[in-house]
Amino acid sequence: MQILKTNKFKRCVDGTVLKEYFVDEVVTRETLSYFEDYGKVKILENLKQPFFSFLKEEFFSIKGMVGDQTLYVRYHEEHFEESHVLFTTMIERWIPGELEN
Amino acid sequence: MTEPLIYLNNAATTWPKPPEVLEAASGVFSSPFHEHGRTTVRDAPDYIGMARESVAKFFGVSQPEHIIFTSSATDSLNLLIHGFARCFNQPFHAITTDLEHNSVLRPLRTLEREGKCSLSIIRTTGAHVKPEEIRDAMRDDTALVVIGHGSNVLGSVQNIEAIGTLVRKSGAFFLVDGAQTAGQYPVEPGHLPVDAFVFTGHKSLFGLPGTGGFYIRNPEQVDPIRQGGTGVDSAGKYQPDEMPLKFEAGTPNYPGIAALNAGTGFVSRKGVDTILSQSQWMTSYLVKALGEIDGVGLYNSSPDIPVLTFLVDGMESEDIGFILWKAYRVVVRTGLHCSPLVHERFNASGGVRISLSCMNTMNDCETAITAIEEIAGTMR
Repeated sequence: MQILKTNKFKRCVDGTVLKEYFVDEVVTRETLSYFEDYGKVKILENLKQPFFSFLKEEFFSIKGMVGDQTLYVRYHEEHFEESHVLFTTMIERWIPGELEN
Repeated sequence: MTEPLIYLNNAATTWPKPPEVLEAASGVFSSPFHEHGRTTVRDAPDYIGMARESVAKFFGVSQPEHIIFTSSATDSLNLLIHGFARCFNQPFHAITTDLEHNSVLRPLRTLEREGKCSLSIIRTTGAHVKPEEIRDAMRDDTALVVIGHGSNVLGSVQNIEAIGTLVRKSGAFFLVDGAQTAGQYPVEPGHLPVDAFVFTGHKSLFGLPGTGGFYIRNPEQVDPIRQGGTGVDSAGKYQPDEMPLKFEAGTPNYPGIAALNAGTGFVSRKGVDTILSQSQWMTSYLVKALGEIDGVGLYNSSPDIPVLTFLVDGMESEDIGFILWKAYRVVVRTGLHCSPLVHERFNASGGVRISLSCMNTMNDCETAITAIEEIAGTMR
């Protein structure tokens, strides 16, 4: 999965930084299974479109919709550099179909 | 096909706008502006004068020159609060409440930090400010009381007649922030015991962002904090005392004020009473339906204006708003709504606000209810 575009940059009063990423693949359940190797994934079913959240404690969290290509990422500002590297590595290492092999 | 957007964020900015508002805004560019004192053009429409007349009539004000146009309600509150302090010219005591928006709280706190006033913020318990709470907070040196007419979080409307009678009897200046009520709740500040009443153009008066204004009863109680060109009396060294020039320096927002004039006309033709009864009907329907959903908690189950804030057990307001938009195309507002103090009694990180306008329909409400029901269902 590749990041095509990064939008918005917002600093929140709670010391977090928000960024929005548009990626080249839709997020599937398979993608979320892969994310589980890195942190805690939660999926809310029975919505018009399932919602997911991902949490890597003390580094970053992601939220988005299953079937969507946008990831909303919140970083802790004090760990922004290493968290951003961890996030992009996690995303770019994902290859659809990998879990089946 | 993309699903229709359900816009329920009208307490921030109303959308859509009536066609005549958009036509009025674009129409001003068809000829050079009639700029009083600033041009030799004589046959173009006087948008500013027309808007001043219609806004004055709308608010029951007999002196149109006491209607001042600004860039927003926030701008108006800053001009009035700081202008009052400058005119008063000695430290004083001010009163406000925990229901207020930052556009009230921040200018007052700034004065407090500068040593120009001491500030009492009344901690309310319900959705309404009781006149006796104001009375009990008053001191011999109380010179300014600032109250929001309608809460942008709880949807409650304050009894400004009772509060104003009490405040003005004491000799204090009574400033009312009408950002949430003007256009959707009957209010005629010209006939009420208020010293100044602030409105915004882009909410229930259906104008554009970047417009607002205020009514001031006695301009001598507030100094102008903005000085500049007025188009007349250019040889004068200082800002003229003449109204409305005293508070209006610089070239006005012609398209915005023309749109405000059209928006006020739209609301007047529809009738504020009709708008209110329609919105109250939809709001009651929403309150009842949301109140019956397990896990949904309402901040106020009897709002006076169509503003309804809620939370779903176990979820952050930001996530609820995110799902409403991404999965259902329902637009709301999440977080603290620039009114941090009122949230302290519910949830420090804020709630989800639904706010209607007269452009909403029952179908919009149904879509929102279904979506919220499904979201709350995921938490069981």
